[in-house]
Amino acid sequence: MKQATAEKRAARAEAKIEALEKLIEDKSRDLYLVQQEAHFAYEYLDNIVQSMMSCLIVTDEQGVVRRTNRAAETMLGITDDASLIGQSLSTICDAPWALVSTPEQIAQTKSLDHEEHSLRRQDGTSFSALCSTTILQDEEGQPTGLACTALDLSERKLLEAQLVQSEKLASIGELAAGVAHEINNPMGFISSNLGTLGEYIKDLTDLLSAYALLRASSDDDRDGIAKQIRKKEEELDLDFVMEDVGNLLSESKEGAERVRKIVQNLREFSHVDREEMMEADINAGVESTLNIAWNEIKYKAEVEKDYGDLPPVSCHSQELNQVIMNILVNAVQAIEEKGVIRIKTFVDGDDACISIADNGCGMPEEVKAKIFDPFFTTKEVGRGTGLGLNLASTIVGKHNGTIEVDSTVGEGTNFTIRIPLLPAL
Amino acid sequence: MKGVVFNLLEEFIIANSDEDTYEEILDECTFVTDGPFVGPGTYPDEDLIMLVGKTVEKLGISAPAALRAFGKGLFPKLAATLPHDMTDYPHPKPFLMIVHQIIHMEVRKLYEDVAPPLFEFGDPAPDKLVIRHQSKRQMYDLMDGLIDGVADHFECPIEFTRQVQGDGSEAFFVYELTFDRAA
Repeated sequence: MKQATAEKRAARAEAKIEALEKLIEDKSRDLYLVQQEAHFAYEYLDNIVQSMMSCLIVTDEQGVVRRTNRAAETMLGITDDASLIGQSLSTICDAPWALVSTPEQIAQTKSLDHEEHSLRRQDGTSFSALCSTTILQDEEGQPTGLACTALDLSERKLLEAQLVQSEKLASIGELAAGVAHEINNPMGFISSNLGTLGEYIKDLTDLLSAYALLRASSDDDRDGIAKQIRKKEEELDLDFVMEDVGNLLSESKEGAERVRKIVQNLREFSHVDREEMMEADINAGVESTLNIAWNEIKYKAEVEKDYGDLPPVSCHSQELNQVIMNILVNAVQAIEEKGVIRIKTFVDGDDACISIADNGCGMPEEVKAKIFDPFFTTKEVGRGTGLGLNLASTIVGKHNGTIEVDSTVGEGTNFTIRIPLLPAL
Repeated sequence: MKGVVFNLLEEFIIANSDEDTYEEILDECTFVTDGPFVGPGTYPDEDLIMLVGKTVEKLGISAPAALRAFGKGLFPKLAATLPHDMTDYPHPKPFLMIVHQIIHMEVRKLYEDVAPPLFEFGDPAPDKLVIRHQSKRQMYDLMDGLIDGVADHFECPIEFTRQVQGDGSEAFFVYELTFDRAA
């Protein structure tokens, strides 16, 4: 090798060392800057995650909780002593999506989109939450975990219950005059019957006194007293009185029973529903609601009932009655003079169905499209809250059911409520 | 192009001539880069083309033959820098199908401005492989040499044809490889 070549190579070797040192320095700076960026990005994302109003729980591919946010800690009562990290999702929920424990099970999990589930707090108490899940995947599409968000529905449930109660009271208020009439009518004839019975008792008491006098009289007076008694008996028309007493008592008893039934229906209707679903007879619910609304209906419509053979259905019966009431009241109001309301209950597939049809004025499409919107009403100010059908839709939705409406202007409207016979798990 | 290729080219030139000749070649080159080529650095493709051009001129060999010979010698040196589990395949086919995905992805992570070649694969038979190769540098003779190097490394002779498709910067080559034994 030439001397000049050796010198050039030596000089280049030194320059290479310098270039490498510079390269290392540059890369170290780049690394530092990237680490800073990564740190800021982490802080930024963590801030978003921690600020979320929804509870966020992230699991690994075995369904083990690896990350929670502040909302989750608050909602689920997580403390340092009772952390969810490292535990299975099944600790907080018994739904199938929470029972996954392998990547294969996670891959087969159906993503939830705002489904209502019961979640368990660390202290064992439960609450309803609106849950969504997303399967997390790596670059190759393999599942790496589940991201679950949940929104506590406790407050919303409470508000819904209050709304149902308000709507019930509004319905009762609207029907109060009719209900009062329904009660007043039997009370009127009961009162009249009691008056008549009072007169009968006075006459019969007088007669009994005369009989006592007859028993205590001497032989000389007996004929005269007996003559007076016979006269009184003729005046009283005793045979008629004895028959009429029975009729008056029976009629009054029936009137009192009608009042008792109305009061009982009102009590049942306005009662705050239980939180849990209970098995109930839907036909009985329809009948009882019909009784309350009867005075409103009877002057405007004939009711044709066709109750099918329905098995007991697990439901919030008072709330379903409210749905039926709202639809019945709307049906009556849709009839201008005299019409027909047809109520039919039947089983269709896995659903118990209630169909309420009227031959009233019907609705144009633009009204039909809005009837389930809150505060939408076609009634004059002060008559409707605009919440009746919205509430009906909410209640039916809570039962995982559907409410369908079919309407033709000038021909009438038919509402069909479908409630699953088997409640959703 | 990565600096390691320049350094390996230096070794190749010296092995085929001597240090004095290499220095003379360097003196004749007018590089865009100011300073020496170091392995982890990234340098303009023009500098590599310039170095190859001057070497070919100086040594009186054809450019395709020089690049192919360089590629063949380059492969074992590059393979030595790879983890063993990548080069321990019993057959070159799985290695060829995965090397691009791993190496160039790593290169891209480290140097965001590099433009690694694009590869797509067809697997028509156990003893065949189709590679659709597109490179900004279009040094396909070097690619031929690398395939020769792969065949030597895995001790599995490979016959191949290459056909150009498309024009200009959109041009790509389709390699149809036939291995001496099935994978």
